[in-house]
Amino acid sequence: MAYKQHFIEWFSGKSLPSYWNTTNVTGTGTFAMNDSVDGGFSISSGANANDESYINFNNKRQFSPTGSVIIFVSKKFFTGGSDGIEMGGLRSNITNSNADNALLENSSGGSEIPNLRTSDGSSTTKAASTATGDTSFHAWSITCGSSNIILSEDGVTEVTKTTNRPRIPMQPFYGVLNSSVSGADVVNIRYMECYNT
Amino acid sequence: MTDSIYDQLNAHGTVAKQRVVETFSGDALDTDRWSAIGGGNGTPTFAMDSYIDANSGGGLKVTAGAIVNGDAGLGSNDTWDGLNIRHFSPTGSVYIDVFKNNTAVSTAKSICHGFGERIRGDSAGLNAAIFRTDSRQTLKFRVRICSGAGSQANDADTSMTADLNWHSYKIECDSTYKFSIDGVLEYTSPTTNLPTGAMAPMSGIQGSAESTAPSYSIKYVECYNT
Repeated sequence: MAYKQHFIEWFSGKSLPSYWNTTNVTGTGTFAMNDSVDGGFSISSGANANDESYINFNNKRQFSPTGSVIIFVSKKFFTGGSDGIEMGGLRSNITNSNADNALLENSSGGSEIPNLRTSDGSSTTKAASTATGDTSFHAWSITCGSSNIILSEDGVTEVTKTTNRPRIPMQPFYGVLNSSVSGADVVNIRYMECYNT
Repeated sequence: MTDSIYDQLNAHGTVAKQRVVETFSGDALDTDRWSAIGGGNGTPTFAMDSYIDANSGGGLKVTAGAIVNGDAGLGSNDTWDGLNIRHFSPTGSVYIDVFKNNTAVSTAKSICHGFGERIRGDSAGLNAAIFRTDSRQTLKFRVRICSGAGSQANDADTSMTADLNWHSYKIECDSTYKFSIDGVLEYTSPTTNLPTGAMAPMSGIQGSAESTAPSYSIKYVECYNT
């Protein structure tokens, strides 16, 4: 079998590699290596509601909507479910949240529970996991197949979603959306792997 | 079905801790990940070497300036003796590299590589666990641990006389520190005078009075928390 696209990022060393793009969709966030054991890379949103900041591939879309996997180890620092939203996964357009995507939305709407959110470019829907949200590091994976999208947390399948699946190629991304006015929201990531199957 | 690298490195369901792998291959050093700087003594060079795994070279070659005490270092801070980005635990981590001295022990006061909290080439400071050679000491490959208080009480020779060949080096940081060369355990530390602060991969060189531009080469580094 011919090798397919496969990407791995350790988030360690002096700075984020230059093949990453940083985007402040709204507001001014900060992006920095975290100088602490197991700290990885830190993203902080701006301090205002709806500020959002992400790392991404500048819309270079190398991963299939129907045959790809993204794995990342990350954490959010905020609690309460109505504060910020940690977001990571695959999306086709970094500034259009309704463009084709398959992503972790952790958490939102007053609930701590992580969600799998997908969009087929026309409709965006989400499905809640059974997991309890927290501020610990977790290993997330999103598997985009030909008939469903699967969100797993720490090796356990949490959501299998068949509706509103993405249709066009996507890029890896990770970051945070500030959904409150209680100051900046911070997320950390220390591993990402993405590949076509 | 393609397997993930993640599942090959971690037991199912495990939340992976920090890890980094550097293969020192390509046209130039990845300066997003690494700082490559001197300490103000001479002008060091950092260049990818065009050899196939030979003992004459390969990987990244780091050369100190041809000046008394010429120095050079590889780490994650742009300021000499500055704190690195320290992702690795003093009580649960592993450092592995493939490294070679390119010049005789007599040409450098220090050629060092391993974990350290700062970027420097003199094998000193706080919180470090390194392999080294020293023109002022024996002709052996040596180990040094710099404790959180700066103690170097755990200095020791390995059994190996220093040479100019590639070797694989491993440092296991736990309640004791274990140093291995080419798979052979060379030194186990006591439980005292160990690092207490976080560390990062680093290597460096400090020349001697010979002004002969001493150098080393490195072609692999892997670090991870356990």
